[in-house]
Amino acid sequence: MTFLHHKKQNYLRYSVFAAVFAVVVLFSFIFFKISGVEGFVLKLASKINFLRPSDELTQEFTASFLSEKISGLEKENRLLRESLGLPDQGSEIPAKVTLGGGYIFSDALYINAGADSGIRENDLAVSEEKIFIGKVSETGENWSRISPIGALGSKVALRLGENKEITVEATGLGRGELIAELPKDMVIMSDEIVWLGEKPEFTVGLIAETDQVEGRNIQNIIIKSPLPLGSLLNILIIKIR
Amino acid sequence: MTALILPMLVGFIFDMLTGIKFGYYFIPTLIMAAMFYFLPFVFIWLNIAISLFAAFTVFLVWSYLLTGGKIPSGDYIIHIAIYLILIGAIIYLINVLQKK
Repeated sequence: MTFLHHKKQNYLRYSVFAAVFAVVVLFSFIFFKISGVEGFVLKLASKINFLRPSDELTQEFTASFLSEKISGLEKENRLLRESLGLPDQGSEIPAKVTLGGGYIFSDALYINAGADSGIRENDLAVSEEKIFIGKVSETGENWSRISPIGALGSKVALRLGENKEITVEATGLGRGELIAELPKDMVIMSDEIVWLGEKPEFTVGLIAETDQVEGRNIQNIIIKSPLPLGSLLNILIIKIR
Repeated sequence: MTALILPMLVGFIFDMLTGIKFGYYFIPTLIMAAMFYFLPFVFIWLNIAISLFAAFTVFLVWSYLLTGGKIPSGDYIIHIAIYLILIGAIIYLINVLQKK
């Protein structure tokens, strides 16, 4: 009986160590960017992103098939343009969000398109309604990571005002919220639209509140993105050249 | 020792996946796990609660510094709380498994 008890204890301890070792090995593959494995691990990780609504299996298959076909055609188009010496046009790459944006993996979005589809760092990510989501911060073979707007501590130039004449630098407060400082005498209304500084055709969000700072000649404005980052599924990547 | 390693591993994974600043998840998780490991109280939940509170404070201070002196958004604070509850649950489970 003592022997059995002793054996059970060892079994539990070693199973925990084995699980830890397996996770270390899997994630070390991502860390050292060994191709092929990272895609598999990310697919596995997307399954635990339970905050995202999941599609039907057939729809998922059709979408991924179409996505593959589109990225193949885009690659062919790019090669033909390059061979003819034509300038590359600013094209849009459709992608699906596989992980992130929810309350668990906050401030990072992973998509199922990467360097293979022509995505590069600093490309812009927008929603289907052309609302700015964020910038591509890292790319792999068939995945990319997007740093969404309002990520903690991130800085971004924004435009506001009737004619987009006011330019301001905002700081991310986490999960799609930003703060910016403006002079006190500037009249800013709540629910005013804010645009992206470098590409003013894209909307970033709305002014949620303005707050006068006591003893200083400035006012704080809080900007919120209208996008539900946790349930975002389809996005477009805009190439920056 | 597993109660120290596994939460730190989760912190490391979060650091790699979110890419804010390396150590942003790892260091508070290390503090939480180490504090739990060395706290002398008999009740597990009390040890977890104290270490969770310490890690939460570290998270808030670090976030405050990252934003240049601004308090993070309410939704982000909820994210930190959920993450630490997850780590607390992992520590509790390991502790229960080790005692069996």
